[in-house]
Amino acid sequence: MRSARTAVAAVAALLLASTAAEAADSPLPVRIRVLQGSRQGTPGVPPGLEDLRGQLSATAYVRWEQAGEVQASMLPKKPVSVALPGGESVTVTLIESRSGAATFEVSAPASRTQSRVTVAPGKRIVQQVTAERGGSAWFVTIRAGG
Amino acid sequence: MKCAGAAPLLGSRPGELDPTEEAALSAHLSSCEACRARQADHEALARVVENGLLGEAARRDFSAFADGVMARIPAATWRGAPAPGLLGRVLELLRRHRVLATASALAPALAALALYLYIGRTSGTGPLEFSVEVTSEDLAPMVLDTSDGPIILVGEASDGT
Repeated sequence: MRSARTAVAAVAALLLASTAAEAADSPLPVRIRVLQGSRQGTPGVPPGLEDLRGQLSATAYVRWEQAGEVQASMLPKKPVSVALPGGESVTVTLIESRSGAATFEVSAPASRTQSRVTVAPGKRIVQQVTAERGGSAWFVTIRAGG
Repeated sequence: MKCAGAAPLLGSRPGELDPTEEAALSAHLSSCEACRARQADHEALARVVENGLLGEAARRDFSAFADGVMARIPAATWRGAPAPGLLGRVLELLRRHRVLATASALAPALAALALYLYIGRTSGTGPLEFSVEVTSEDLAPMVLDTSDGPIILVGEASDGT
């Protein structure tokens, strides 16, 4: 009987330890890409953006180009600044990561827009970060997990 | 060998003497009538005792012996055990192997918990796909839902911006 109780206690301790470890803040690998979308021009998505084709094709922008990329191991509340062509920037902050879902806050001074997005694992955020000018606009895409 | 040396060896059981003692005793008995007589007395006594024991054993009834032993075993080991039967034997097996029984009971629960945690960590098909809150000072944000994730559009710049 004592052995059985010991075994049950050990299993419970392992589960608690696992839960605690999961709850602890740990760096989250995040891939942030800077894209330019245009309404005019030859429609196309570069090979490097094939994984985003499903989302990009849902917009009115037909021509896409990647202008930059940042890969970072993000910690909660530690903002990462992403530069846009033209000198502007976007700030991406990981608010929390829990049970695989990640919550990001994207602050885009250029468009005076701020968003807070929670996405499940494997999902990507595509956000327009500048107002459209002359038929084109800048976007950032965020994917947790690199 | 003299009679004094042969006396302790008289009446020995078959195989009890080593070959040297057996040869010496045999040599002595062949030449000593008195010791042969004592040996004959020992052998006669052994036969009487053997026949007496066998006779006594034959008169005893051992038919209930095995049943009596089997009847006492549960009383000694089960300590108020349940009524005999399949359920009783299963319960007795569980009592004898408590750790194994506990592990067997916990294993499916732990497997289910592990599966639940695994699905919760890796699956994107849970109740939460994404949630979006957008605020903009002078633009009209719009959120598109796609299977790959949200798309947040803020529209065109107004004049003067």
